Amino acid sequence: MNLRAKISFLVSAVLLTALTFVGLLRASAAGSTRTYTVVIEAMKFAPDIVRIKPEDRVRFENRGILPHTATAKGPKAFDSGLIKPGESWTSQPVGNAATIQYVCLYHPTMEGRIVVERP
Amino acid sequence: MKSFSFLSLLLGASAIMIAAEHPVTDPQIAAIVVAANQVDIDAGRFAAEKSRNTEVKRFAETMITDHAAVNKSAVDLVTKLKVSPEENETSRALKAGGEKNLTALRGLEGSEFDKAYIDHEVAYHEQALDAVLIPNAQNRELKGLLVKVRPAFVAHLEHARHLRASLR
Repeated sequence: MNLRAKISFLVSAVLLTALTFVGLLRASAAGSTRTYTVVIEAMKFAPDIVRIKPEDRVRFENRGILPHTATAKGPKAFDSGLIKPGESWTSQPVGNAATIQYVCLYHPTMEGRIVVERP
Repeated sequence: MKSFSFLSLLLGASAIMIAAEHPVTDPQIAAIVVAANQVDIDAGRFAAEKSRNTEVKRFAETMITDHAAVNKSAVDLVTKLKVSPEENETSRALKAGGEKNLTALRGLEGSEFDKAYIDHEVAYHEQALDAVLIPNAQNRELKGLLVKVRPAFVAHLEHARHLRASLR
């Protein structure tokens, strides 16, 4: 590779790195989405209260031996459907601040709450 | 008809007392667990079909789903452990009690049926996972499964009690 080609290559590499860096900064400034895990085991949702941001998701992971649901009623309703042992289900971002009560439809003693807080 | 229900409960209670007096082996525990689950599945199927009460039907469907799941876990485990369930006095008494309960329920309708079914479910779930099966299980994995199942039985009992109060 001659000197001109080497310089071109070097300039391109620097530009690419700079653009990537700027892109990453923008993504982080926009607020990265997190996924919080709620474990379903021993007839409980754990933790039973989870605090998230509007863009976050909640993943319900069934580590027990019975099937369950995570079902919320009202304006921010969601329903996981049957989550079998060993399976999981992830909610969609709520979009704004809210407090969402949910239950297992099969086992009404099982309750949890998602508190969606403004950033 | 109430005497049939009482008799079926007595048979069930006697089943557990028999097991309490004579130590039970892992193969016998396996048979007891399968019998106990099947009895509640059968009662649940009957109630899900016959009851006209939404909450009772939902409870019955939960019993079917849950006890079938526990039975599957139990059968998978004993298959893995190469343990053959061994029928015994307790498992036979549980089955007999289950049949008596179904006979009693067949003669009832409407709210009387619902109350009798739920009354039996309360008494049934009050029985002795703690007193007999868990302490007697020798195999670590079998004991672990019974311990893991226990919260479900507690939740079933709580649910049944709540329903019983609402049916009064």
